[in-house]
Amino acid sequence: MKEPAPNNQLRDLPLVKAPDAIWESIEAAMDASLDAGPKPKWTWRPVWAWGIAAVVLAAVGAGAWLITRPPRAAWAVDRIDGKITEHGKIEVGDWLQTDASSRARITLSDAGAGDIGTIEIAPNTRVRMVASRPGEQRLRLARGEISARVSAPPRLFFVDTPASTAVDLGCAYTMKADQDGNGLLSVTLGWVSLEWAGREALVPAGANCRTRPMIGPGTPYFDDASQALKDALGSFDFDGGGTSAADAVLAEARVRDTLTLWHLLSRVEGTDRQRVYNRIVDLVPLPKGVSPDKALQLDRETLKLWREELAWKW
Amino acid sequence: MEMVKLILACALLPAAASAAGFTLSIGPPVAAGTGKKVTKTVGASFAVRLEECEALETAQISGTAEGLVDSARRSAPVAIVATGSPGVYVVSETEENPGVWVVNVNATCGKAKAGAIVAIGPQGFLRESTKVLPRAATKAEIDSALKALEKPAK
Repeated sequence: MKEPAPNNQLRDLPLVKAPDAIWESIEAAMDASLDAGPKPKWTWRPVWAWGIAAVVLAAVGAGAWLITRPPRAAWAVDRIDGKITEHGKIEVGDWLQTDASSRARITLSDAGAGDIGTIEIAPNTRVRMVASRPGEQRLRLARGEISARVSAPPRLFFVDTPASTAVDLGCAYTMKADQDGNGLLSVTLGWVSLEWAGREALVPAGANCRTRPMIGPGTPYFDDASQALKDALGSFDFDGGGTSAADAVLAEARVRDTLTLWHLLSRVEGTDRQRVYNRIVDLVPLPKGVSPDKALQLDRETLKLWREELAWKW
Repeated sequence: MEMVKLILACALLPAAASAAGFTLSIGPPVAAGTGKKVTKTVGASFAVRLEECEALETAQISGTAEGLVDSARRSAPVAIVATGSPGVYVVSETEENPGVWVVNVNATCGKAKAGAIVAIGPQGFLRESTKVLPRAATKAEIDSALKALEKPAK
């Protein structure tokens, strides 16, 4: 008789439910095994540790930056009279305002050049420190009047106004701006360049220049120019006076007013330019090295040389 | 002997030629150019340029302020500062004094000399009263310039 295969014998065994006690003993054994065996690689505890380390590192980094960072650029502010909105210093973005009876003084400093001058803030004036970085110190004059005395390399100190930017070329000057943004620059020492949208006026000591929003700097003129010349210039620069206003300027010009005519040359065209040229040459003979053709073509180097020579007569 | 004179004359000719027409231009400080450092001065200042001098490296310039204060003559030093432009200087008074003043400027270019009496007014140098000379000014010329300046004040 052939014995049945073991598989068949197993198949024939009856199914019997295991007693509950077996499952309990299995679970107990598994728990014991988990406690005794190796820890899983990722658990909540290492994540916490990394987090704390990151926070500590960030705190140390921030502390080191706070200790070693360069001091925030600031200008010293001194009250001269009355009450002012800031006292002690102003930093980039700060406004400084004076009322009808107050005045203040700002001491300008540059990281590279050191103390570079002072600005006196007149009553009813509002200014803002716009930038202070090596090679650029910038103030905004929103309205009112400032008097600056700057002893710095050229093109380091700038005053933005609603109608132009005054660029220091080694100078002392007063800048005014009214509520409408109209301005007046008066230079007492050295040179200031007034610039706006590619239009430029070079203003020497003893001269003034008016500015208008959306037009920029007008034509510079000396304090002692005739009132008729000043009026005609105002008409030419800002009221569309055109050729008739330019003619009045030419008629009134003295030797010293070649400052005005030199600027006018590049602001007129065609026969008007030829007439301005002729008037300058009538007043001061053309110096050596200045070509008439190049001057009339507004060659930059020629005009610069001509201005430098004319300045000896101002 | 004639030959020696001729040789000497030929030797001196270049030096004389290099300074032929040597003179001074006087102008406002702004004539010294843009970008000059602003220096606080107590008195007036003006610019001087050496003209027609081909040997600027050997040229020399000096000056003193000469004044008339309560009818008494006074002298004071001036500051002469070379600018970035060859042969151009800015001359400044170093003291502010009452009375009337001129600045006596002397310059040499080789063997050539030039001078100027620069009249000083309340607002700076007075162009109309300034005299440029082909030599150093004499004491009499300085006194005369001071007296001319004193007259309008009376």
